[in-house]
Amino acid sequence: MDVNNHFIEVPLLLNFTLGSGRIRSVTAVGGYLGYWILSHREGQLFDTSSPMWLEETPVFYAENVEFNSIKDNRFEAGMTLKTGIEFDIDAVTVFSLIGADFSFTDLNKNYQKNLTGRYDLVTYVEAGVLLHFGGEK
Amino acid sequence: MKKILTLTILSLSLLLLASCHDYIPVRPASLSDGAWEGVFEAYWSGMNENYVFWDLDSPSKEWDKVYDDYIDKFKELGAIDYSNKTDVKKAALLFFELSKNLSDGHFALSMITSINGADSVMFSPRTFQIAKETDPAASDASIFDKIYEGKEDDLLTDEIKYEDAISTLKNDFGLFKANSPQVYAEATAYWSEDMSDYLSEKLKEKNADFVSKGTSNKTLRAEIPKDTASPMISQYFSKWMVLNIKDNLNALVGLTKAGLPGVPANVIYIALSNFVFFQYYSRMDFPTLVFLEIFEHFKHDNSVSGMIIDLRGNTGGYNIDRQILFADMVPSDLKIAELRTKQGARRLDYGPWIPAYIEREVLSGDSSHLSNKPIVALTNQKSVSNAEVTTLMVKQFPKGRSIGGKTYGGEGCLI
Repeated sequence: MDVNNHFIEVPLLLNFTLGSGRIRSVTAVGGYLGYWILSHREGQLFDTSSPMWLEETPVFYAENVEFNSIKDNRFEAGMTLKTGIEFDIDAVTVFSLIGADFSFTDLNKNYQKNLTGRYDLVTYVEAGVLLHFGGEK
Repeated sequence: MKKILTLTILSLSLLLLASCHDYIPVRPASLSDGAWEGVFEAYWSGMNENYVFWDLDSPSKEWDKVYDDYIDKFKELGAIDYSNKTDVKKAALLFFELSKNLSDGHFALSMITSINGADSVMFSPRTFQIAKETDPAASDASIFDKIYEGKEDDLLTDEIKYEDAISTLKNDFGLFKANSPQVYAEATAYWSEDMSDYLSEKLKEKNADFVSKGTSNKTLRAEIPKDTASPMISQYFSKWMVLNIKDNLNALVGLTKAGLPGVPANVIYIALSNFVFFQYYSRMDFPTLVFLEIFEHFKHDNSVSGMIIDLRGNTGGYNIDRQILFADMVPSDLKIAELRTKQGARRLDYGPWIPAYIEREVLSGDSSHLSNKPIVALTNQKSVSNAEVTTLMVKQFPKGRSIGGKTYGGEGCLI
């Protein structure tokens, strides 16, 4: 089963730049708040009531999972850490970062004993271009 | 530049160290450590992860409360000593108390009560609940005592005790009375009159071969003698057929006679002790194939005015049996229900809803005309599991109805 969870996140980061030449090291540290907006799962199961079951033909499913207010914690908070480099090319700054979001909050509400936690850990690569407006950099 | 490189490498290392962990389930048996407390821990955690609570059995953390309420009581019992019959019974009573209100009729708890495993007690919460409904004044302790002594039947009225399919077939139709010692001995099928003309050419040939060799040949595993059943059955049906396969499957199909009170003539009546046709159909068991072909013939008889599916005492079985028995009755695929299973260790981890269909499947000719005629499922307190799903199926037909008492309630998956 493949599950894709989608969140809207609002980050608040402190950006540290080391160096003053054309190539600089950049590290960003901070936190974020998020809201779980969608959960989608797809996969295959065997419908044992179907004659096709005898040939082991699976039933495919792809659905948005209905959230359950007893079990799903849709608010999320965590820490963000990013690092990489940036460098100037003419009037623009190009950057490339690798980052990770570490969630502190369980995607489950505490609805039972011996609950196995589900914590988001997202790693990603960012690349972009900074355009400078309004005077000299 | 060197500082930039160092800082970048350090930061990258920190990111790479981040990892997630996979959940590794704990085997309940590993919690059992020779003390009653360990057995309770094993039972509680095994149930916590595997039992299907739905929203019935722990809507407000009742199963957590079970842990809080009982862990100290099991601790007090100390180490397991099967020679200490008092403590063994006390432990059984505690398991009974903490499980007695579970709702899934599939669930039963078996507990060994002697060191060599020769003695055990089997406890089904549903039995307790039926006993309580039967006699609300009975104390839980007195019900437990009967169960512990293996005298569960004393808790039930005769009406409930004999709601099983075999008793129904015996009491309503006089089946199995004359030949009950043989009824479980071997597979048999017998009919009201020679209906071999209704069979396919292949089965006709096989039947003729059996008849020529004589019905006493045990290796055939089939005998179809004429007019062997009780006269009771002939009072109700103009044509009928009975199938007995050892102690595993008992079924009757017939066409009602004219003049019966409350039942029109020419209604198909089929009674099924359970749904294990697939097991015999797939190995081409002769009596089973004959039974199914006769049933098929009845279903395709346009003069038939409806069908009664008697699921009283039906203990369930294979889903695929519905397909084997009823696939020629639907003009197109008929959605009968949506099924979902538990997936994952958490109490509310469920998989997706999967639609369950009866898929149209006709070996020859058209579908049966029965789909637009009255179809009735008969149920009682011992109709369980697949009998309950089949009742849902009947209700999906335009004139499908369910008649009878509350069913047993086997709603969870089998673990």
